[in-house]
Amino acid sequence: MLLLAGVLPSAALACPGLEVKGAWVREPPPASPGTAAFMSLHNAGASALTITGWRSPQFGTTMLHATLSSGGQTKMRGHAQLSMAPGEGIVLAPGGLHVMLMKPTGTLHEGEPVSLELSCGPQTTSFEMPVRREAPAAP
Amino acid sequence: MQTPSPRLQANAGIALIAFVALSAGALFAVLREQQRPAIPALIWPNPPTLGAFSLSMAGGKMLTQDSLKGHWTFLFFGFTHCPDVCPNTLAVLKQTALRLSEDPTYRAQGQVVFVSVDPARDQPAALAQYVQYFDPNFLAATGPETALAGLTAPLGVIHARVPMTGEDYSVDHTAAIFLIDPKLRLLGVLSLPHEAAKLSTAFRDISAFGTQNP
Ligand SMILES: [Cu+2]
Repeated sequence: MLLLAGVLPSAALACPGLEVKGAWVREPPPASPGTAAFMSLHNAGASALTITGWRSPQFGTTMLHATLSSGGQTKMRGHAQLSMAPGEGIVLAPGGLHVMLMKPTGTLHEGEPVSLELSCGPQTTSFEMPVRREAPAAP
Repeated sequence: MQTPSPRLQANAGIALIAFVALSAGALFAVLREQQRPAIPALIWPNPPTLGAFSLSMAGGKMLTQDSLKGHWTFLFFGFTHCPDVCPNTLAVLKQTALRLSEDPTYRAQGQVVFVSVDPARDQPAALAQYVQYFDPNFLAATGPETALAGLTAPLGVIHARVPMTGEDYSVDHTAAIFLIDPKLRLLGVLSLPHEAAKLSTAFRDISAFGTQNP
């Protein structure tokens, strides 16, 4: 069974306290060399949590980016690691932070799963998220 | 009840004169405001006009000033290696076109044009596929820097390559959507955040205004 966009399989070595919600990947238009993933992260644990790495077996390059818009200009920059204090959360959403997914190993169509692995130091949390043609409606 | 003292009556008189003067002032302000209507994205008076330009589209066709003449054009600049703002904006433009499908001006003259400011990586044929994924009616074009400047310079569009780790480079670019009228006048500059409701309202207001002010 595929676990889509949702609750994580609890693995013994998963990032402690990390919760991922509403994760999705934008369906890449033809001729576009990559796409982006969006999600809400929450630290439900008792100590600070730092996401140090992102990896997907379906993409050659996976990294955290920020879209910055000011003075009518829009730009994309690499974003350093994400840290969350206990109880804190971070939202990756269009127009803001995104997981940049480049060099896909295959094609991606709406509804198909993409697996993503987040690491926080030596531990990793893995999950799958669906490809969507359009952003989900705000909750 | 006592009759008001002469002093009070005089004060009331002054207040009345002040009130009339203020009202007249307010009326003039309203009349002046009507000359430059409260359309937030409208460029008026003295909108810039596009000159000659020539960019490549798929199939060896060219996008020139003549492709915009007689149309109301939503014009947006970007590049296909842009995973967030560009697909998001094109998706919003598709929703905008849908909302305007019953608008007589848009039905007769509306079009959406995407111009890539990354000609090194975006070939016209691939660009066409890219925009048609959003809407089969959307047009896409690009060209070498000198050709792009014919369109970007009069609009004040800026774009710059920025090196990125993990890929070759990204392109910083102007995120506004430009609304060009059938006479090539730049009548609207729509800034972020882009939303279909906001864009379709701006289109209706600006196209009505432009038609009344040829
Ligand atoms: Cu990115």
